[in-house]
Amino acid sequence: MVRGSGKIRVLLSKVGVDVHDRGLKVVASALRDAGMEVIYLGASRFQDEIVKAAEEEDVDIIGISSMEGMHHVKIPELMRELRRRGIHVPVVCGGIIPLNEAKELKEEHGVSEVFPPGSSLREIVEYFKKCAGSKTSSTPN
Amino acid sequence: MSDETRLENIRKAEEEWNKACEEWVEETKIKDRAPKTTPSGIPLKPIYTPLDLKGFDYMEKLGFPGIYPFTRGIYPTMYRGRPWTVRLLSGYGTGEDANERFKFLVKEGETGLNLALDSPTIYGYDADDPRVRGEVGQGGASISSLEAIERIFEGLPIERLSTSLVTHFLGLPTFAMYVAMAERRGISLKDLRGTTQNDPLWLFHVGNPPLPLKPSVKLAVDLLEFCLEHMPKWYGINVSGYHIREAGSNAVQEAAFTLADATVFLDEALSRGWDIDDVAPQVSFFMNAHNNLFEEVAKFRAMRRVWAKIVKEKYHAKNPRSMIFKFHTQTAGSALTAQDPLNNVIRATIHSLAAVMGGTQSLHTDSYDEALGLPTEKAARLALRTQHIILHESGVPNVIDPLGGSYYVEWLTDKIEEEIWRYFDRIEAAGGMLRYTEAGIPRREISQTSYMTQLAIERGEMPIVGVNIFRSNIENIEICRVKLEQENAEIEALRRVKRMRDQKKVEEALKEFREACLKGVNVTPYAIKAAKVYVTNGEMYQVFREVYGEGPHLE
Repeated sequence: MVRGSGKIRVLLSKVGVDVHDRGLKVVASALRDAGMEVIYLGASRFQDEIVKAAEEEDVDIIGISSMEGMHHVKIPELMRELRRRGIHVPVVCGGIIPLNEAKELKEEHGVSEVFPPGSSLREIVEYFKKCAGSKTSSTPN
Repeated sequence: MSDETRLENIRKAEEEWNKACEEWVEETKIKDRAPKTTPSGIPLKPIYTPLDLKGFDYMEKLGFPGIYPFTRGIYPTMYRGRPWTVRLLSGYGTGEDANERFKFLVKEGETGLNLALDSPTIYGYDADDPRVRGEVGQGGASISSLEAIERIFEGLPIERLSTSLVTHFLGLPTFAMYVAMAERRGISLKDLRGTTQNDPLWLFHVGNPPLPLKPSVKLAVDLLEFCLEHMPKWYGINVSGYHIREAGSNAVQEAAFTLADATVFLDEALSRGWDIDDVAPQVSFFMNAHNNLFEEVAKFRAMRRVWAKIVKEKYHAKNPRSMIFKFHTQTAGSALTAQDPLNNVIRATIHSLAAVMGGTQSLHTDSYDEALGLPTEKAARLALRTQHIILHESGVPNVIDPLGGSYYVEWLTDKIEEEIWRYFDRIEAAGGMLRYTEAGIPRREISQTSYMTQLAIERGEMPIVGVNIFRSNIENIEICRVKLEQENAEIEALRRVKRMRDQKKVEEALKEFREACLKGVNVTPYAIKAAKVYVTNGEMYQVFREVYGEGPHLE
């Protein structure tokens, strides 16, 4: 991996076999339009593929989308594995995540932010820009 | 008065009206603010008249229901004889949960079963696979083995009710288990009524497919072929435009890609020596009904006409039953909003009306809570009642194709047909739909349209009530959330099956199944044999993956 462009590098994925990636694709397009480098894993990806890509691609930030309700298991598992492997980049989530569960993901599992339905692309892009600069901003559990 | 004179009079009157419009705007300062195009980008005029249908030949374009080109409907009496099948997609949690919901819906008046599967089942992973922990029973029912499907359908009269198995990718393992269950109940395959979704192509346009393209088509047609031989009342393939639309395409793309996808299955079946008049009657479709009422109705009408022409003119079918475009409709999940969810009741009503005025054969109406989770019982009952009210109170089904003859709807039907043919020209120039799919063209177009739509919503150009206009702070509604205990129960059930089954028979059946895959023969009978001795969905998929390879990861 050669890192020369100075662009913010983003990894976007779903975790597990949930196929709904319309929202994630839209976010990918918006981040690219904002000048970021997006590594798009997309739908139907298991945790080990995401961790491997995060390591190999030396990304600044990871975005995970959930729709079918697997986030309560899959996202905490992913967070533990990332931190165990020494990857401390911010992880941002989006999709259909009830507010109380979003709070839990942030407070107990170290997710940096959760964007619920109705979040604008502008807010998301701004957050990624702000957050990617602080690679170690979220502390390991 | 001659037709020419009549049209000339209309043209003159239209000019006067145009002038009147300009004067009206000048005088009142009320400008025309309506969108200039349909959501598919078809330019719109403020009004349509006979001038827009110049040379319109009633018999060529419309004719009568049940008669070529079927624009007005595929059956002679349509809903006057028999209403569409009221079929709500359901399935979640454990087999018992899914069973209880089915029984509830039947008691409340649904007339067909419509089974949703969870993503692990669709992708070929068993409930006890640690890689899918947290996803079992979340988006649909989990079906790892015959035992699971028997719990789901326990006590349901499948000899009387038709079942749609919404398998999303390959229908094969789930279908094999359903057939094994029916045989055990002593129901003859000849009498079994239903549909397997069994369309792998959409997962190459959207999302990520579990298997490579050509083997996927091969396996899908294996199932279709088995139905042609043994199950005359079962639709072996249900070609899906629904997911294409949900992923963000517009109505024209949905229509064109779906019809083109269907030709791939026809071609594969014909290459095996079948006659078009054997195959085409057993191909059905699964479409989306979205927000723009008239464009959706025009889409369904245009699809009927285009499909009839394709099957008659390109495939030289002789039997009119081959030419009819039969479709199930699901109202657009992607049009529902998580914000102010009760508004979704109204959206689903409009979508359902589009499906009914578009002549659908069966209909799922979304529940208002589906942008937040799976339907609660209360929300599902309201969705059911939405259809009952349209059916029994609105008067809409009393006259066949009630929008036929509307200058606007006829003009729009023609336009959509033109656009579909334009896609067909491009697809043909690219060497057919398989090549077009391999080149990723539908995929790129769909995500581009989806992004443009989102930008239009965010700029406020596409108003969505509760999202970018008329926002309210609504308190939370009750949400159906599948718990880990339900998942654990399903995993435990599968473990019991694995302990109890005759391992020797399992291994034999799997060996034969693998050999059938390797030899390239029709694997369906081997899948049914395997299902009967409790070979699991995951085990069958593992063979597929080993023989055919993993699906490509597509951007």
